[in-house]
Amino acid sequence: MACHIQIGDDPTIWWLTEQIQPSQLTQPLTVLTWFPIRGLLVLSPKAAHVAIFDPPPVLVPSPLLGPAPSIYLPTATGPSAGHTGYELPGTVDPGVLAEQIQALMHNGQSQTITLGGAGGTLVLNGATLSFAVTAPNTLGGATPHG
Amino acid sequence: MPYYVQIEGDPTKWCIAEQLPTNELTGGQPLTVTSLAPIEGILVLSPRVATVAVFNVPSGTPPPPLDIPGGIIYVPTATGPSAGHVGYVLAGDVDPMSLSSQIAGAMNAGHSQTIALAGGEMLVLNGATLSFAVLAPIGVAGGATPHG
Repeated sequence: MACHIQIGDDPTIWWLTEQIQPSQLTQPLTVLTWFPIRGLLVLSPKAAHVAIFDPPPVLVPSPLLGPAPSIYLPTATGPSAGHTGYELPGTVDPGVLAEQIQALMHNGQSQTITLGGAGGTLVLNGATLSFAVTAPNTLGGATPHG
Repeated sequence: MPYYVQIEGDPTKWCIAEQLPTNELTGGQPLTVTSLAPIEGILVLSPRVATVAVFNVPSGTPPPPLDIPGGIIYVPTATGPSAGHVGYVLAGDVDPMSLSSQIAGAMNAGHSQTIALAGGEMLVLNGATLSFAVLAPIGVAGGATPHG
């Protein structure tokens, strides 16, 4: 059963493909998201607050289009058309990156990522990052990280 | 060579004069760097910051900084600074440069800091959770400086 979640101060309501339980939020969790970005959402247990909703009985809207692969990080406004996060190099596997972010959240360490497009560097602090969404997705279920 | 940095959820792309030592951004000491635009000042970056993106400046020429009404402090917002909205105006006796060191100290210790604003108002910063702050004006540019 799908569910909706809202994380911290980011206004986005994420449409997940499966239900998550509050008891799962004690460790890093990776779940599939369908909207507004189709990808893998990695959720930290350090997120200040997470709201979990029942989904409305409507069809899932089409996800936003953006550079692929990409990574979305919390913002005050949420993603929008043309602003779906940072572009990653084409060689990056979003599934592998999600696993790495989950590990960062677990051990509280940092990771530097090379960006695609015009280039640049992204530093993620696993000790304080509340969530990230990597896209496009790789298929899989909710994955608690022990 | 100037660079842009974007910090957590604040949409501002800060143009800074020097490359940030990306391997020292988190887990260590607060960093202070010179910001050229949109506010020309000193940017204090917390080691607890969740995300920092660093880009090359495409044109190599930074945009002109916004006008400031005196000593100011900018703290993260959802929209970033704009003309006429560059942050809080500091009380006349507050030195932005000294304040940047105090904020770095508050970030390092995870303590709170109360700052006197113009008009007798106060601003309370939580050094444990504040991701960054920008103080202006400053007089002397310098490199990235870790605060012990």
